[in-house]
Amino acid sequence: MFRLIGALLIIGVAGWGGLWVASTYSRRPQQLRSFQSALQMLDTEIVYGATPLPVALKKVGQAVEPAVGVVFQKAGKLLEKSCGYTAGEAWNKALGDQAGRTVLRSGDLMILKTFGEVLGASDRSEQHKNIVLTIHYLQKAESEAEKEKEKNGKLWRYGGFLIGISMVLLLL
Amino acid sequence: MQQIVSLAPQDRLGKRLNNEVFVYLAPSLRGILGKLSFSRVSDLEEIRLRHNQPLLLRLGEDDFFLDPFGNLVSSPVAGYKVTAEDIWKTVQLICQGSVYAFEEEFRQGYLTLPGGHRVGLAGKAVLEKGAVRTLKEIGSLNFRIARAVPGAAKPLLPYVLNFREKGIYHTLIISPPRAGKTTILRDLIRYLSYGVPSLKFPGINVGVVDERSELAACYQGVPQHDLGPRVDVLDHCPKAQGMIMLLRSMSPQVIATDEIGRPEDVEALGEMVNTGVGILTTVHAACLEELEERPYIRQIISRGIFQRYVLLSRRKGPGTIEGIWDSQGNEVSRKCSG
Repeated sequence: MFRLIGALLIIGVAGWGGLWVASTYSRRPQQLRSFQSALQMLDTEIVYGATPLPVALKKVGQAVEPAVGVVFQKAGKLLEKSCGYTAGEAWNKALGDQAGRTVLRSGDLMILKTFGEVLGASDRSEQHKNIVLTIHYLQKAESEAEKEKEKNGKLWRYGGFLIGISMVLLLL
Repeated sequence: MQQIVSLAPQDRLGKRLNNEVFVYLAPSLRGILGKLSFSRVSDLEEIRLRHNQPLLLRLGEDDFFLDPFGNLVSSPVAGYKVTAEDIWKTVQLICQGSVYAFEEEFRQGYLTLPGGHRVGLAGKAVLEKGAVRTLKEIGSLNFRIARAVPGAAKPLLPYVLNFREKGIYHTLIISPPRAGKTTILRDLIRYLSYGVPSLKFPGINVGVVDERSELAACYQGVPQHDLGPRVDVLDHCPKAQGMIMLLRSMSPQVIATDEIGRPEDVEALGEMVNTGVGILTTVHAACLEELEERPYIRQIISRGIFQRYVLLSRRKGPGTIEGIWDSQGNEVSRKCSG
């Protein structure tokens, strides 16, 4: 009886681990897409509304999925408080604080960090170019993430359980 | 790194400057200015930032450099050298990280902060079809501290108010730069708007064309100076166009505007003069003779548009009233301190 419970526990834990790894593969393209739509919204606010960044960032932050929206909201709040941050510094601080809660890779974060260097620091046409370029890089990262999801997602979804079963067989 | 400098609570002006001006300075500059003694903060008129040059303050009549420890020094060598990063951060802070949202202000070369303080900008002009589109590579910033001086225009009231018609005489305030013409004009507007009970003068509607955002100092549409309950402000609007717009739309009893001088201003004033609306405006000149050398202004004088000419100077400090004349050039009053 104990053996059966132990075996089920090992398979369950390994399976859950596999599902968790698989979910990171499927969440990454999702979060990259969220960043793209958020940047598209920010583009509209900047180019057509000339909305100041503290307002624009908070507005965009409310409209996208929470894990991504928090970065925008936090950066907007930092700028609003007039505590000495430039737009780039506020963006990088918010991104750095939130990075651990996303499933983005260092390459993805680098794209977003580079975006922050120009954020708010030039006229509308330059801002538009910066956003379009960032979206382009994020799209490339997304298609790569989709491929990885197809390749590794399925593997990990079942792989965890298979590892668990193998371990049980070995232990028996 | 991002520390807000605190000033002694008893110093209300110091606190105001900290909240309204120093917070827009790069943290390194904020730290240095925070060390400035309170007695000197109250005299602060300008903070000048120039790339690779010492930090310069204008306190009353004098210029001083500020060293890294917050001491006022007269030698530029001892002053704190403003870096490109200081200027860049300050520019970012005054536009809340949104340079694109202030394109018009950059084109004009200045922007207004909450509290009505003014930041002048100089840098590389970006041209489009021969006209300035914007400024980039900002190299100099000038923070001009705004101060409302309630009561500054009080000595003028008996001479410019038309008690019989419950309005004002068409008045031109003549003043060299930094002699308090905008402060006096702003205070006159406030008196007209609130009314002057001691002189049994009721409040009247005043339309303000604030082309340079100095009179009302609107920040996001809200006047930062108290101009009273009967004032309508057309912010950032060209004077000539704005005067006509206000006349048609807001039926003011007085139209006030700052610094006339262009041909179209003169033309608009000519149109306004016979509409029953009082005109209150200012012009740059150190004396009446200087005024007559300017062709467009001479035209106004010869047409006898203005019924009162007020000459200001800095002789006894900003706002010294040197004299008041009527349209015939007869002196109505002389030498009263503002």
